[in-house]
Amino acid sequence: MSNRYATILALGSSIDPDAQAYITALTTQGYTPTAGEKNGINGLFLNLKGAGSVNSTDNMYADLKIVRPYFGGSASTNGLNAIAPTTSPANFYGTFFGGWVHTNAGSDPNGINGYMSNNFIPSVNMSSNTNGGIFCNVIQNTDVGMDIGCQTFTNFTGLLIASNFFGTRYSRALTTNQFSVAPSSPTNAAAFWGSLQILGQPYFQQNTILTPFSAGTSGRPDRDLLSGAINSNGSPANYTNRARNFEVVLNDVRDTNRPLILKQIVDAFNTAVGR
Amino acid sequence: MIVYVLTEAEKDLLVGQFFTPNDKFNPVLDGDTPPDWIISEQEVEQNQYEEFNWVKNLPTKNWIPPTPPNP
Repeated sequence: MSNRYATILALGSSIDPDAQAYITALTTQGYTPTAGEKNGINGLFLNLKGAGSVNSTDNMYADLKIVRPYFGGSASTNGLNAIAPTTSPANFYGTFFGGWVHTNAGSDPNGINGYMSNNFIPSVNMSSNTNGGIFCNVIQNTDVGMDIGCQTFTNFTGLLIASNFFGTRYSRALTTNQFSVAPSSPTNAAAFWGSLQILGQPYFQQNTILTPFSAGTSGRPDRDLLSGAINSNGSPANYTNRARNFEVVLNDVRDTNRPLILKQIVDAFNTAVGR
Repeated sequence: MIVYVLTEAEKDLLVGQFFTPNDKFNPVLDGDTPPDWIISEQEVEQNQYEEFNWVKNLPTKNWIPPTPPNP
């Protein structure tokens, strides 16, 4: 962050315009953030732009597709994509189905029939020549279902995350026919992130430059990305009961540092808003 | 966990319908033999629309999970 910009923010006379747009959208949808929460939101955007206290170097903003903080306490607020905060599916506003409990701490699917449509189809909405990734910050250690994902076939051709699925934790890349298996002892979300980072498998395939694939045979499935379940060739399946408080869909993971930075940004935001 | 049991006709009335401004009903088949169409406690308790108040009077049963497909 430039000294001039930092000074302006310190004086309280300015807020990042994209942060302000998200704050306004939250208010429109029924939740007015407190002053402290506004600061947390502003910090989130500055960090995503490489101009914040946690991240002052990596401007990843242009590579972001979805930033969903699950914040505000209702389906209307928690479905907002913070970087395009409208209720339009074209901006990947999340639509919830079935049983969820929404609070300011996040959104909790019931493991029976609760899922969210991201209105996001990787084959359409992701670039074919970048290394994309999906992130899901689960805050509950349970053992049912898929955290987020979509696939065209039933042979792992697609992208998905499951913190613990039939005793094994999976992450899978936005690439073709490759997936990563996480360690077998499930822990909480933070440790899960950490263990994947140690293994160099933080929820996506690294150091792989994708080439264009035809829909249906690629790691960019032509199915809507679902949260709280997986889109299994057009139908929600494997519903999870793991609550989550942050999801990110990134068009380009770029390098191994970016997921570490992103995790720090998410943690900083959650701390700033008191969760 | 308690779920609410639907007839096929009742299921058709709920598919695609909002029960809050940004939550839609999602009837699913449970793992019973034969399977029943069900909705969850959350959908019934959180419903904000008078036209769907009838879901509160649906019969209930314990949730029987279906066998999930491998991913």
